[in-house]
Amino acid sequence: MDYKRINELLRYFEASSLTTLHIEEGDFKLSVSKLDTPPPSTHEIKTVITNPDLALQNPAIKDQIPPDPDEIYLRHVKSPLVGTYYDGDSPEGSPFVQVGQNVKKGDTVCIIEAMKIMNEIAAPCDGVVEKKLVKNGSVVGFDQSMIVIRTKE
Amino acid sequence: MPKVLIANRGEIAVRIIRACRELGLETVAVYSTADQDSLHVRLADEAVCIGGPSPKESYLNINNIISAALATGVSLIHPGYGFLSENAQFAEIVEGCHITFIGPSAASMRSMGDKATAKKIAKAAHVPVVTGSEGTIETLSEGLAVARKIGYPVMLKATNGGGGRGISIIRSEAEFKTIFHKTSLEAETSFGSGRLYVEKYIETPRHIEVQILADRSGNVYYLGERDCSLQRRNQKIIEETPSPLIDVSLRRRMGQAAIRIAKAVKYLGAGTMEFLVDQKFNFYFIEMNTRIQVEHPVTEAVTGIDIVKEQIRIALNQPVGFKRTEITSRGHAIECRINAEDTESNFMPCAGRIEKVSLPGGMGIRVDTHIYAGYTIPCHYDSLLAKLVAHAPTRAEAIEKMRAALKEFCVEGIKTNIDFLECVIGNESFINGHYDTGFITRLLESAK
Amino acid sequence: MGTIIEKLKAQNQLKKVDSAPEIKPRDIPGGLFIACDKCHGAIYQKVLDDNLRVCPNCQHHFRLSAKERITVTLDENSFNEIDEGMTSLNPLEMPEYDEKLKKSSQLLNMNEAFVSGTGTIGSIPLAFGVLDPFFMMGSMGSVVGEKITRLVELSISEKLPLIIVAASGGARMQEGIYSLMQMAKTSAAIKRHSDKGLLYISVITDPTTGGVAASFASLGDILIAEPGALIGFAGPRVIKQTIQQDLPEGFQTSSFQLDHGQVDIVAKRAQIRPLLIKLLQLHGYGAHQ
Repeated sequence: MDYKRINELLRYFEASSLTTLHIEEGDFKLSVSKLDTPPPSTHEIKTVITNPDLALQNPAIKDQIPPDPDEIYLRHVKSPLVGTYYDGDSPEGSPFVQVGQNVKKGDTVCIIEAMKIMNEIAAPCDGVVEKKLVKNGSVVGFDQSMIVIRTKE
Repeated sequence: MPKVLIANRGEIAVRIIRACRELGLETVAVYSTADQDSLHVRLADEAVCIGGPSPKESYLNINNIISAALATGVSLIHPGYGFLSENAQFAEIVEGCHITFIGPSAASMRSMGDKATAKKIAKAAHVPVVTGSEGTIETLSEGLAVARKIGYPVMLKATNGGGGRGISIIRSEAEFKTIFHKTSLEAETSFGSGRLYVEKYIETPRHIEVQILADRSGNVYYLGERDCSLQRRNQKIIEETPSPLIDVSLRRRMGQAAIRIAKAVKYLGAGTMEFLVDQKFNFYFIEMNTRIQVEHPVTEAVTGIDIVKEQIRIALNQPVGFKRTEITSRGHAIECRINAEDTESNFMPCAGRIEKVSLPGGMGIRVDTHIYAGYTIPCHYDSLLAKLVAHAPTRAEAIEKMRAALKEFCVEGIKTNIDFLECVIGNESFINGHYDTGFITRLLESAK
Repeated sequence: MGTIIEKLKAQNQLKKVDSAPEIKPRDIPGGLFIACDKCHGAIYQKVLDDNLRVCPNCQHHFRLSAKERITVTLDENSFNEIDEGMTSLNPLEMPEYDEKLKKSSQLLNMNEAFVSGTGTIGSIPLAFGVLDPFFMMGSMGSVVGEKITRLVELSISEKLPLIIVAASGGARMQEGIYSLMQMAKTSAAIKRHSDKGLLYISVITDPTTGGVAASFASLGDILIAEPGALIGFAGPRVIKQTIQQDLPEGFQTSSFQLDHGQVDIVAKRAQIRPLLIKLLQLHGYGAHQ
């Protein structure tokens, strides 16, 4: 477990409403607590993260937002460009994906038009389309979340 | 309603948004991911994120800025200062998309942006220039030959340089040989071109610049000069107008010289001609800045003319808001640049969270800033926090007003150069108006 | 109803804005920006042209028309075209061939896929020919073969160095065996050129394949390739099906061909003109007068 990951997990913990955290990975063990009294024995801990990677892989989690355990499964499709968002292959085209639809990694989920050039945006993972955050034809900025995909793991 | 996109950040973006508002124009701010909480984003009518934190990913990202402009349907782009404001390719692309670029044409930007070419144009307009190489020097031996001819000390300058960078002072032939390649490499990295030119180095000069406005009818207005001699490592710290040094006749001659140059390149918009004035009161043209400058507020204070608004009016082909005969200079104005830097650690720039801010006020005090309590300064950009301007009927009064204002200016949470500015303002030589471009360096030496 | 402030604000408003006005994006003429085929970044056309049609972001080399190639390679206004009036017939009476020829020539304002003539480069006189990849994929039919041969013969009679820039999908299918015959014809002409001790430099650009790669384009004394060009004979799919094996990484690219000895040097577009001048000088070809 390297320093960077420990740091990230601790920030995650700090911002969350969790009061105690116990991490185990092979020989490595870490216990942290926000309580004045010493943490209760391990079997009383509410959340045990056995795979630290899981906690860190969610790009949607920002520092200030308390992490919802559910959010680990949500991947945001973010815009790599600045331009106009379209659900389909043209301003009037039918949408590539609908909410509830299954997608595979690499499937085109939307288009961003920049300077009259249509850029296809691919799904970053397998999953189900959970939510569409942007209205068809509106301006999107760099790194803006457009579509949320629920992954299985 | 016409919309303007401001392709910049920080205090100047705030400044431009204000001017647009007054003219009834809608505003679009662009910002990097590091600037999400920046004041200019909050003030604009719309905002678009255009890239990651580094300038290259965002404020220098032509494609993303153009895309934002097209997607939001703006009709004008104001580039501010720095970043893309003197990038002719950007201006060309903006105009190619039928968006008005608030500034000069790409062609005049190119010719005046190349310092060697700018000097040639000045010479042709009968404006005195510092002796030096005819255009850029290609090789070390060429440079040495020029230096031998004009005599040491000389300056080696990047032809695409700006902001005081890409300049080396050389006092001997041996020094020339060692510094030449280093300076070329530095220039290449910072400005994209390693081309250099040689100039005679004028000892202890005054750096005096002239503000002009040129409209679409070919009228060029001269709005007075600014004395910017107070610099540390070629970065301006304090500027004032009028210059305590030059007299009416010199002022008029410099103003006319600036107008001749502007007309020669069919300039459009706001521009500043930089001159050096030597001990004998000879003036020499060194370069032109084809954009609005950081220190424009001192000129606005004494003339009463809103230069940014005039830039926009000129771009919209509207008449300027003043008559040539009405241009006057009333009183004296001084500007202090308040930076997030640590005076004791060689002015190292600081980043961090501003816990508290308390700004000075009152008659004749102006603060242009983007900071607020709770704002975290990103570390990717320049360290300018605020511009503090004091305007009073006389220079002595302006100095007193500035001294009081600096005392009132309070920033907690990060280090600033406010104490240092107070020391300079309170310095006897400054108060007597006896300073040159070497003053700050000598002052710091004396404190070692 | 409403707060004091709301009522006062309502008094001040002359025109009420119902909802946020719809943002109308600015329309720009199509073709102002072009997407790079490789990195998909948007490039302003003029910026691309100023950069010799090389992507400033990823250095992908866009294909050049014959006219563009002449402009970036030879001295300004030095090119004198020969045989420009030669047009193709349809000896095998292939359907739609005549229409395709007509369409290409009208669209591109040229009669055939090969442009030949004389000119200077760095003030050195030379015989120069270039295939246009936009005219029927730069394919070689009877006219292209004949023009190439005549160019070679001109360079022999005038003792000029010869440079041919290839960009082709191969032999022209519509002319069948006539096209294949051009492979032999052009190769024979070049042999005669070589026997006279004259220099022939072949510049290979994207794509150089099929019958063109298998004849004159590979017969240069010196072979220069542009980076990232597709260079080969048969298409990758056909090869894969034939040998029933996966193809190696980078198969049929310029650098692959360089590593396998098929080309002598890979040079970026901006370097090609100075390189050609230098090579001609090294071979003793001097500036005219």
